[in-house]
Amino acid sequence: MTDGPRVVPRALAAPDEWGLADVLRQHPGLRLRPRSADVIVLAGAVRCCADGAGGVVDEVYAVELWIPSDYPHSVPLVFETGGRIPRSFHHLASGALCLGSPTTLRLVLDEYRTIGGFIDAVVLPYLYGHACHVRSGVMPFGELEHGAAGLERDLRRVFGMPHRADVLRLLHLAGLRRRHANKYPCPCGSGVRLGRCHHLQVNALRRRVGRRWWRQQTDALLRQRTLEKRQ
Amino acid sequence: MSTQNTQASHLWTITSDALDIPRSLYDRAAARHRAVGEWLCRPASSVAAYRPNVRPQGSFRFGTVIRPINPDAEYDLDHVVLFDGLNTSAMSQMALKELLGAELREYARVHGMKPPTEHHRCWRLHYRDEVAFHLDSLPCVPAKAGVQEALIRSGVEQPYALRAVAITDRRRPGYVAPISEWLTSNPRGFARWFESRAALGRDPLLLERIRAGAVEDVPPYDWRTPLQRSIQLLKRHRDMMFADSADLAPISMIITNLAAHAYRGEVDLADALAGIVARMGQFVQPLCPRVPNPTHPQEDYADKWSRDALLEQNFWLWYTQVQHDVESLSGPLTRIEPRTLQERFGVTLTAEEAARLAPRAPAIVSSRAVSGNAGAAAVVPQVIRDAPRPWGA
Repeated sequence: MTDGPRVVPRALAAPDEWGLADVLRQHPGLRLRPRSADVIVLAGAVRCCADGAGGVVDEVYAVELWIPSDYPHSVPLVFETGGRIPRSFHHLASGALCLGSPTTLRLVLDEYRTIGGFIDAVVLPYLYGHACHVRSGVMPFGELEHGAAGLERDLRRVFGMPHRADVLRLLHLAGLRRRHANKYPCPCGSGVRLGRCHHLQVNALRRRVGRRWWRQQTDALLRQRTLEKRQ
Repeated sequence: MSTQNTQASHLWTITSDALDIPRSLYDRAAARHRAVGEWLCRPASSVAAYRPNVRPQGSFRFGTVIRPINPDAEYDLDHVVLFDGLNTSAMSQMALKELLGAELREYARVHGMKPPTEHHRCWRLHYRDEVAFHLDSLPCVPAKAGVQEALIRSGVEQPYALRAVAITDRRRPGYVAPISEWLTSNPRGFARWFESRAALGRDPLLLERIRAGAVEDVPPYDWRTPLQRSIQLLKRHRDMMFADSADLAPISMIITNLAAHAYRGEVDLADALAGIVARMGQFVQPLCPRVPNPTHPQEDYADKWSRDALLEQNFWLWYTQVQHDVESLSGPLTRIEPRTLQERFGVTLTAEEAARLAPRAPAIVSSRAVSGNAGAAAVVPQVIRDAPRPWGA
């Protein structure tokens, strides 16, 4: 009655390589939804009981997490479904929460490969930020400036570069092979070649996410700048 | 039995009791099944000469029927009509199907019922009693001796292998041909194997009767082993999770098969359910057949998985969720929230039942929310030192 032996990809037979069972234990208000599309959906209540720069908060939010098949290579989308967070507060055009810059999220996923890690490192801090903002009007960890300026500031922080650093040049060098990039002047403005200046930071981040990512970010920054000039 | 098990067993017993069908419906279904058998064997029947042997099949046979979550939904009964006096060389698959179809049409006419509808492998009779149900009638003939010998050679025990049958399937190319290769199956062997697994937790006398073949009818209403109750609970959990997308849900035969494999004869329901849920995933094979019929290993209950990966992924999602739900509701100090039980198993506790299930120790153990409820437990706040910064508005 069958078509003969067939090897099934392990990833399909074992969704728990993402630690879904741990998520259900740690966040008993979340439940798995049947999968009908290319995402796995976790939906329900998340309790954000956290302490940080804005003091202690203990709030419950209704959320939906849409986890893509290629997680952790792609970032999950997170929606707040309880109507507590207005659209004016850090949302993307899609209605999903704006959790951070693409590069920061990519690096977080590279470090925390499980869904539980993503919730702890990204979702809970966002909800904590919202709770603090409601209470005091202040974002405890700050926020990025709108548009290209915010993106550039975030990239300088990620690479540990000074404020004067040329971000486009930095992205260009991160997108080149190491031996090639090291011969160019360091984008920090020191006048020294990269191989004798910020090479450790640039090389480490190139290794972590690959040259392709940084070339994509170069394109994204250029697009954003063009868009802002037109406006 | 420990205090933990006592409480968990009470919970699962109350829940599975609520899933049971009413005795009246059970008796009615059994009577309907027997009436069809008697009709086919009556002297004037056109098929009586072929010695029809009618056996219940599916969840009614296994004792794992549950109430549907939608009260208007139809119950699904299955039975196998084996023509002992025929073989695969006697007539075409279509002729056999028509033979049974003609008798069932007449049965429906005489009893004032809607004519039976034809499905790929069976005929469906529709009943409209106080509760609607349908009876799927599967025509078949004994499998060739060669098929049975091949099953024995592949490791199937002889009593099961001898129950293999050849079935009709109108999607097969040789359906109308007088001589063709018939599809083989072994629903009767599976039922017998299942009963031997269910009886592991019961007294040796009953076990002996099953082995001796003395029991082969719709099983008595009261015949509920921990395996059967566990399967009822798993099926209801599946129904609740897939209430809005039933076509993506793991089929009952996959759940029944895996649970029967995983059952080790635990007498206590909480032990049985916990053990089954912990082990059943191990019995999914890495290669096709992924979930084989143990009495006909070439028959794969999960054959659709190879054509639609979503079905397999949904099985694993459901399995992850049910493992968590069973574990979280079975804890010794868990306070059973009526809403939680309603959400996960569609069962509403009475105040008396809820009181009976109250934990002996105070408070909820869970450190975070339960089913959207913030939870009253004191939690050590997670320290957040840094976070990705969202863009300013």
